[in-house]
Amino acid sequence: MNWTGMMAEFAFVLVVSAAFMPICRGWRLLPVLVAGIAVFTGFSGMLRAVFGDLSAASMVAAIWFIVRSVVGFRDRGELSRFFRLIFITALPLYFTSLTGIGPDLYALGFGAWWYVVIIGIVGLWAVMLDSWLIGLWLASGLFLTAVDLGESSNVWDSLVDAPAAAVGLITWVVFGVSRLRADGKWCFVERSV
Amino acid sequence: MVSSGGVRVTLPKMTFSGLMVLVTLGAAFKTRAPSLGDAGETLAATRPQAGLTPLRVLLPSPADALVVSGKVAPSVHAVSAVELPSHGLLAFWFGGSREGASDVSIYSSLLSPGAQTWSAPQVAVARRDASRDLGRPLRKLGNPVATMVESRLWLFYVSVSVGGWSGSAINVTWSDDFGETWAPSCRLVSSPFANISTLVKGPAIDLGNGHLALPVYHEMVTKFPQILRIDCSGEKPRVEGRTTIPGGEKTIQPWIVSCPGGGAVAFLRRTGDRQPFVHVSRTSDGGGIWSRPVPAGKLANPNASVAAVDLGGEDILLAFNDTDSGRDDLSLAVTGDGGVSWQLIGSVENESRRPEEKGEKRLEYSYPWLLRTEAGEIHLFYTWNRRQIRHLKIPTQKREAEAGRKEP
Repeated sequence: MNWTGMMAEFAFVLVVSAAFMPICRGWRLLPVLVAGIAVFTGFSGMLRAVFGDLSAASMVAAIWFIVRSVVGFRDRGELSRFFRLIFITALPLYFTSLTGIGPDLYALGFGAWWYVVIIGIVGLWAVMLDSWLIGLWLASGLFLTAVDLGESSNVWDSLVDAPAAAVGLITWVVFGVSRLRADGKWCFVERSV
Repeated sequence: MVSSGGVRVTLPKMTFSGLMVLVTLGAAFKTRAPSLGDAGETLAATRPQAGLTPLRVLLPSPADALVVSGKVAPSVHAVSAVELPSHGLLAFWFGGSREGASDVSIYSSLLSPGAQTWSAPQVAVARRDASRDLGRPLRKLGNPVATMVESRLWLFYVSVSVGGWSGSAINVTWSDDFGETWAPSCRLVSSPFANISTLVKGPAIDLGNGHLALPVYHEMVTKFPQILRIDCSGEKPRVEGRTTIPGGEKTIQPWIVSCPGGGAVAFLRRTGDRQPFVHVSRTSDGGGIWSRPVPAGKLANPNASVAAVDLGGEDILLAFNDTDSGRDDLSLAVTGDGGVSWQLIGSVENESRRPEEKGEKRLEYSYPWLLRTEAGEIHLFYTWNRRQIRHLKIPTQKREAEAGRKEP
């Protein structure tokens, strides 16, 4: 593999690993270590082959996590809530795309200008309510679409990806279990970072 | 700082708002027409306005078949073919030790104008090369589909990185020297869920203005047909729209034939045990809205691929496996009403027609591909017992001449 390919895969696994960090008690250098091992073993290529390119959801969350790891977390449940939002967003998209039942939401992402405007308005609204993470996510997704940075021209592909949705699902499960077992023995998602 | 209704508007928020408006406008300007009908392009855009010369099809003899695939691979399947500007025929298929093996490559072979034999096959896409181009490990290669648009030859093909065929993605490469050399492959992103489970089988339709309509199908969780609108005018081809044929569960491998007046009909392979018939879906608005797939009369479909071609007038020729199970009979039928009623032409290949094959454990004449050339010749390609790709020129008669003879 050439160096650029290797660096791309390293960055990919770094971002994916960092995205998973909020749901486990973390060692801050763990994402770097995981990414290094993944590239060394060739697992990173398989991971990228399976999941494709990352969206703004994973990238913004990973950067947010890395920055917060350095400067300190103000709201320790923020990332978990964010990933749950990604999962909720992805759920109807994946359902309609995998089953062919109902309106083709993914097709909207190719060509509905009003859909893009709605995303912009929601992003503005989120920031006005101090939900910077959501605002940055939506702004980054629209930016990726506007400058054609990804392989896809679909807005959805700039906004959500399967790894981020998977993290969202896992945080739902862990959060649900922790709510049921609120005796302190389980790792609360909101405290886990 | 401005406070309004509990919302504090700070300088960072105002700055962000400005950027948000900019990226929103930028993204909105990048949006395209999401489906075929909305783009003003129709599936009939490149159909000859004057119409094709109506043809009557006669049954070919399998003894006249030419071997396309040579002996480069023990197992071959899924042929696709185009007519070159020189009027030669160029065929593509995948071959290797077995379907799904890591040594499978996509091969091509040329039948020059006037030639009686196909050229020695050469590799068009090898798995390792595709993997390098795409920057991803690939486990196997699958169905190729070739399309000639003006002087550029496009080759779409299926690849799998993990899992079975339901984990497929579609890739594309192109050649400006009619298959001698190929551009690096690139991936088409057609699905939001990790871009998996989109496969290709039927020919693309040139929409004009550098756009193609590519019939594809989905196989993960459920199976259904779709049509991708692909922009091939840029540096790299990209999917710019997607239309799902509604209620098409359990139907795959759409083969689209344009009809006069902007309509089109899609012939579909039916999977599963219920309604084992060839299915059809129709559109009258150029591909924007499709009807729910219904059986095409009582034409059998043992979960096998079909191919169709416009015979001119209202007639469409269909190649299909006319059996309840298995693929040991490849037949031809003609419809003059978009797939409602059919006239069976006959069986091209079956056990009785080739008694020398009785030693074969399992006869298979499958994955047909039909092609009409500019000169009006009809060509049938198909997989022959997974060991060869065969080619038959189907004898035809002009229907006008026939009608003229009948006149008093």
